[in-house]
Amino acid sequence: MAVILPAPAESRKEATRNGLFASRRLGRWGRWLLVLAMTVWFLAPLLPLALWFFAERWSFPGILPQEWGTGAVQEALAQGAVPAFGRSLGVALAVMAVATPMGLLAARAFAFHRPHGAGFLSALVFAPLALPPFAAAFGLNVLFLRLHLPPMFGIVLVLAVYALPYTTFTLRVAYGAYECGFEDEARMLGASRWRVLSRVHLPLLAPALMRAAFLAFLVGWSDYVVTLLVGGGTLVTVPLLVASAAAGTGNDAMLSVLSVTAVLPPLVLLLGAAIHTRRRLGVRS
Amino acid sequence: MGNRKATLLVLPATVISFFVVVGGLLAALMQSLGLLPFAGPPTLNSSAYLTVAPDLPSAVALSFGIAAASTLIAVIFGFVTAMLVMRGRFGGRLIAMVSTWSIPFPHLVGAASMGLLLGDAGFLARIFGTDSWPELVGGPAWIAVIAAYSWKESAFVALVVTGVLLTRATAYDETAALLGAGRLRRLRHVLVPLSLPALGVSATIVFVYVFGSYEVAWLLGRPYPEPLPVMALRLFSSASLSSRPEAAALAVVTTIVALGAAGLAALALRRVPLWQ
Amino acid sequence: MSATLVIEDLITTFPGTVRPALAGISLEVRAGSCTAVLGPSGSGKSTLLRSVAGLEVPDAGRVVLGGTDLAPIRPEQRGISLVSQRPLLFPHLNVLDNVAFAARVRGVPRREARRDAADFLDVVQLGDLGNRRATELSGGQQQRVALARALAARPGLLLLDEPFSALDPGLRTSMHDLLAEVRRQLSPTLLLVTHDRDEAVAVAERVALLGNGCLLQHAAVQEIYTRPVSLEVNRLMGGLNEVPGTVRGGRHESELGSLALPEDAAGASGPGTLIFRQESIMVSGVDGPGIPAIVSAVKPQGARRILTVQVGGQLLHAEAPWALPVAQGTPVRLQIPRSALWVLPEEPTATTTGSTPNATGDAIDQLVTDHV
Repeated sequence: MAVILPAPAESRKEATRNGLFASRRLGRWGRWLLVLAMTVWFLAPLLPLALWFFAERWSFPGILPQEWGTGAVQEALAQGAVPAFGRSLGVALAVMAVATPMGLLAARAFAFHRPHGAGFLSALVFAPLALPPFAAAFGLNVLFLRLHLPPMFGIVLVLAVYALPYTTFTLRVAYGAYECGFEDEARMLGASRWRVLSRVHLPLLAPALMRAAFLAFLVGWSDYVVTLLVGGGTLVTVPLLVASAAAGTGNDAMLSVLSVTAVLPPLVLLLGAAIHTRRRLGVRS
Repeated sequence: MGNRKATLLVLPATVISFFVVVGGLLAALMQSLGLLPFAGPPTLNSSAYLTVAPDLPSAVALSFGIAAASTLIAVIFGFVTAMLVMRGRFGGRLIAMVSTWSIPFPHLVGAASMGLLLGDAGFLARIFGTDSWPELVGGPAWIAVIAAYSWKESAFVALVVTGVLLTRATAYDETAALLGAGRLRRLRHVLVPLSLPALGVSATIVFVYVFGSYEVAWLLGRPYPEPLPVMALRLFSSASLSSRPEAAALAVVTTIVALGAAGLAALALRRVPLWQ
Repeated sequence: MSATLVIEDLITTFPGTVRPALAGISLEVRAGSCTAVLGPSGSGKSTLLRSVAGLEVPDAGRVVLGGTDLAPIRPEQRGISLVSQRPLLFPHLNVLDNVAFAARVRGVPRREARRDAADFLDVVQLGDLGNRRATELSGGQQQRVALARALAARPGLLLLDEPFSALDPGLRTSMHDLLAEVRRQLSPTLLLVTHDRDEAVAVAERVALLGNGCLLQHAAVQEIYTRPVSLEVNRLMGGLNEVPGTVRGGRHESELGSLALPEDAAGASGPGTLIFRQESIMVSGVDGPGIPAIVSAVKPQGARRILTVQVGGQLLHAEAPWALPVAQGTPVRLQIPRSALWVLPEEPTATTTGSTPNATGDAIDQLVTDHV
């Protein structure tokens, strides 16, 4: 689950009219060709998805759909897209609610204190990056069955552990740049410990907290293998619907509707965060 | 005192990590050794490993090949993307925007989209004509699988590298230029060495992830030979009870290779001239 | 390796701003000489350096180095090195390879480049630190390595952008000595940006004073202190005394009486403002010679004190040693050497005539706020 958020817009210093970057003849053409190639690379897979979404009939070898429409939406609804969406949302929000605060606490400990066995503890927190999720899920499947834990609980637990490296890392970096002087200053101005936490500490960390929460949400929202193995197929989320549609043939339109459904929520969050950041910066300057 | 507080702070995260990582691995290991059977008494044996042994070399080689190819492409494309973003101006902003698009895509959805693009009745086949369309999905070269992974992971690499470069690279770039280094020399002597740690870390994460990942290869790959995770999941969900230990054995092998690769990468990264 | 720099009518405007950062600067720096670019924050000092280096693209004007117009030449091919406030040593290279960087990117074999770099490390007296990582060095050592790295590129022109302002005063002094030693050994052409008047005097023989993107005066150090072309230059150089009056027959008449002007200051008759440095006034007790005055304020300034004295209705500022026993209300006598006098035809503005002792702190900062 290699995911990460773009650096906040404020850190992007634009190199305007820098003499080093002034284009010269060949260089300019080469750069534009590269820009074009990379744009095609990143956007190409989105194109058929968008076309299929609105295709009522698109038989081979037509380059564009023969009939446009939204019949595939009905099909997707009939497959149970709405309850699956709700279950996905539940899993993602639960993973976010578990992994963000735990990551915050761990990041604070690693940044400001030296817990006993810091090396081992951080290895444990970051181990999921190197541990194939299916391998952990195989063993836990047996454990959860023997312990009679409900599947939803197991899924959220495993996914939260897989989200922890991202939340901990994001917040650890934020604490690295965190200026303790602000807290001292607030204390000197007479703020109580809790006031400092709620009025100084958390607001200063808010951007990093949002990034961490988004990453945890994304881990929960995107998962397929853990939901399938730990849940034993009982908890049908959007990715499970996408998988069964993709494994079959002849329902590409419904597949694209389900795919768009699977992309939309994190995309909306991402755009919302970008707009929020820009607006905040706009107010400041 | 501070130490006890620190331990309390990391406790929640480490407890659940310990349960999932160590508990899950131990359970998988015991399962593979016949100590956690569905029915009957537990007996310690290595029959699961012996059964999967003949298929292991090709499965490991295939998983390794897919992961290596995907990582290589993702690193190259990601670095080029980062360089373009760093130059700024219109092209850089455009690339920064479009590369962000693949981030909210679950891997499974990325694979499905790649199938719609590259399949034998896919969008490209429709554009370029059908007769000579190569077998990209389910073909012998695993092209669609590698394309799906490197598509998503190149954006990841680009983000990690731009995150590191944006804050410091311009000043070093200017310094190098005033010491007489032209564009290519600056790339080779300054920008690549400065990005190397970020490239190494992100490449390791990508490699290990792709090596142990299931859904893309399952969806876009061919039935035989199978990569490790695909074989493991087929055995795991097959009807016969004896196949569970075999699936667990494959999981253990995958984990060992993945952890080994991560460990080697960590050792290699330690020798890269890092900064702070 | 040194070349003469000629800047002609250089104009640089940043995108999105109306006022140019550089509004037509012309300047000549002779081969092997050192000019300090002095001016308040935001006056365009760094922009001037970056425009000469080619890091900023000017709107108009020419930059000529050693007879070659630099406009079509890329920054990396101009033969100009830059040392800035941050040392910016490459973190992936050790100290020696940092200094050898310029030679390496020109294709010099590694062994030869390193031998050459070792010589330059010796010049900055760090010959034994070649194998250290750049990050292991102290701030002063890093800045020395940055200087050695810039010199090893054999630049026709070396640009220094506030290179010592992040160092503590002791280190700064030793860097000034080092720079003098480097000039003696290699005599590079130097253009140094600084906001510190004392540093400019310690390092350079000429000073170019910038204000609001314009060159106010470019002259030898002594000349810019004692023969400023305007009241603004006088104030930016820390001058505190401005006495309005009239020039008549080679003498200046004012509250101070009729003072004989030096020959180069005795211009056309008419209204003129008399200026002289607070350092050049000799203060003595009431039985000494000179103009009688009353001390109205005393402000310590390092090893000396700045006195505000009153002559009739005119406030003056004078430096005095601690040994002179004065306090508010003490009568004193002032002697002003004839050669220290200078007359400008401008009228002093209300804000600075009779300025209070507070204005002595940092005349430059004071003026920045006035301009904004």
